[in-house]
Amino acid sequence: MPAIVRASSRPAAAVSLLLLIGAVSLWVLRPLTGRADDTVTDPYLGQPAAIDAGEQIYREHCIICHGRAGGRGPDLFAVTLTDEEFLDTVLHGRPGTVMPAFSTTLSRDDIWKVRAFVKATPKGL
Amino acid sequence: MRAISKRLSLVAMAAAAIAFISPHGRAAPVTADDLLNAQNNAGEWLMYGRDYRNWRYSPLDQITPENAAQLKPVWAMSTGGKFGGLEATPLFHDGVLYFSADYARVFAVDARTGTILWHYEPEYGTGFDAMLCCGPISRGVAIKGDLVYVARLDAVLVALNRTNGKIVWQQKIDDWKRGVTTNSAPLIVGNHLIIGVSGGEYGVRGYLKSYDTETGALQWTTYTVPAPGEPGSDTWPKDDSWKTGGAPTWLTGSYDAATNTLYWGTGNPGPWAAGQRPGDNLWSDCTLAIDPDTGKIKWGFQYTPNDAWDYDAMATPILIDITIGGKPIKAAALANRNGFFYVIDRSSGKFVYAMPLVQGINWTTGIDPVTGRPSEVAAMKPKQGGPTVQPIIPGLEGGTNWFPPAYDPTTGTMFVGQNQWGMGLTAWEKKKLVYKPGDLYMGVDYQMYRMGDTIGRIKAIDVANKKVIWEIQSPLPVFAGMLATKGGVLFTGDQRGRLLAIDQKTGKLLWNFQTGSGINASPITYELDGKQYVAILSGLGGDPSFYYSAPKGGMLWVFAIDGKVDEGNLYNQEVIQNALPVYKP
Repeated sequence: MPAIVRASSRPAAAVSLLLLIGAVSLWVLRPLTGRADDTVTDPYLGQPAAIDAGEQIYREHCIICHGRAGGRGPDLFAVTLTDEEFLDTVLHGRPGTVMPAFSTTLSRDDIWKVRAFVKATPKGL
Repeated sequence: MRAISKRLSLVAMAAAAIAFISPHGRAAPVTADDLLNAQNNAGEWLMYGRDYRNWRYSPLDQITPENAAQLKPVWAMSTGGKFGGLEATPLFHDGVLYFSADYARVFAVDARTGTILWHYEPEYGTGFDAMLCCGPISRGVAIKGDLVYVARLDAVLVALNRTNGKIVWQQKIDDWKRGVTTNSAPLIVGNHLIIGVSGGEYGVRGYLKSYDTETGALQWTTYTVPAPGEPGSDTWPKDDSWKTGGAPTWLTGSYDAATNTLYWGTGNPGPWAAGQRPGDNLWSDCTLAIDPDTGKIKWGFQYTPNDAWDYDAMATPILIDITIGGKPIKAAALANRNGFFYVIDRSSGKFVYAMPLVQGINWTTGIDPVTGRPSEVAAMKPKQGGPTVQPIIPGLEGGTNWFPPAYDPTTGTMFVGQNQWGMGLTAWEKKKLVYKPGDLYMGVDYQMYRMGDTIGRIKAIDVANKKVIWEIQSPLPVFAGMLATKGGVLFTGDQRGRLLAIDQKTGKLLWNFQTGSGINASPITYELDGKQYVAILSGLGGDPSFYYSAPKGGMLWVFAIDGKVDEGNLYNQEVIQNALPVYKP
């Protein structure tokens, strides 16, 4: 009987493992634009140290196109993107425009700090 | 993926078969002498500026103001890819067009049919795009022997077999991760391939390099910012600022065989914050005369000392022999981002004259008529930590920029594209400017401004008499190069996507054709089977796409008077036989 128990528990364990992998995969691969209660928000909004760090990152990576209030490209201080859309745009760029993907240059934390900076500076630099 | 690989290999086999079968695949190699005599080769276009003088003037005369309205497209081909913008000048040799598209992808195209003979697609490292200040654009290729040369955007020089596109050798120029990129067409002189670099906004110390055209071996490196003790080093502070001093060499130069001298432009000093680097900052914003065999700088002429405005002088010097005020001068002429059109003596580097290209220049009160040195307006120079200075004219995109002028020697007329705009600049406090390799190193933020109803201008300049003969205005900025012809028709393009044919004498628009995307490349003309053709790349991208949002695209268009295309079917048979299995019941 113990052998039978073991035999029946193996598929159960495998199914459980698959379910776990599936759940983790779904969580990892979940779309960025999910339901309202799934919305990703910038965790650094309003935090002075993060805003200062975001300003430095902006000066090192963004300013050549976006200037102090949209020098040549769109004015990031006036964009109406949600936090999520902002993150997605910086990570993956805008295909067909000069906006490149920064996914390997900037971390998510870096991008959130830039977001915190531009939101805290509505009139631009 | 395997299916895709299989299809790609089949297409490659088909292309190779075509290259073998096609008479163009066995086209004669281009020799160093051919390049020296390019100006006498009426039917071909063998280098970036057509010949070493960079006149972009063709002796072809079948297309005239009388028949230009009959121009028709002969064929067009798509460059595909990511539509990152096309800024190149194609080359034409022995029935084949060679050019680079976005990301320095190289195409060889049968000029009779528009068939792609081969295609080179570089692969870039992850994150590379984020290092490009101004889009993934490439301005052209060079050709010699059986090789086609391209500078990949990530500072790798590649020599491709001219008949099949396979890599013969490649050479790393620099590490892109520290901000050095390459996007200009190389210049070949004898066995030297000379290539410049971009990176003036990333704290790069500019340089030119020369490589052996056969082997790819590095021959020399000439820095455009002197190290301590080198000539010009006294124009920099006695600190490490020279190491990040900019002066990149990001456009193609010229060559005078009579004196064996290269002429090459340099860009802005780094960082933009001029207070960081008191002094004239040689050899930034200069035309340099250089020995192509050794790389030794013979002399330099600086246009904008201690530049605070991003006024690169990288423009390709146009070498003309001209009489001014009764005095014959071997001159170099160029349109400068600082708003002036200059003529200097290319034998000595002495100033001849400057005339304003744009209205309202306010960073200087004028140019010294003897030395050529500008008198700065201190109030227009932003101080570190100081207030925003605006409007400064011209704006940082310049009174003109990389798009090359053309010169008609029969009338002594230079055709120049330029833009009328301004900017505001704010120089940061010193403590906010930190150099990190690969990050922007500017120390200044900016805002570009429109300064009137129209921005773009095309001007015809009588060089000897220092006057504008005619001018065309455009509401959009001009970013396309010029092509002058003996037939009297000037070709260029606009951001709306129109290829324009203009009467060189009057500025009258003779004909236009909508190519489907913005034009920020330079047209060429050539003769094939006794007929004159005009070719232009169309594809908005790079800097121009900041200012206008025409549809994206990537096309090579070819035109002729009542042109007809020989469509052929050989390539179709090859591709179909190899890529599509025949149904067998």
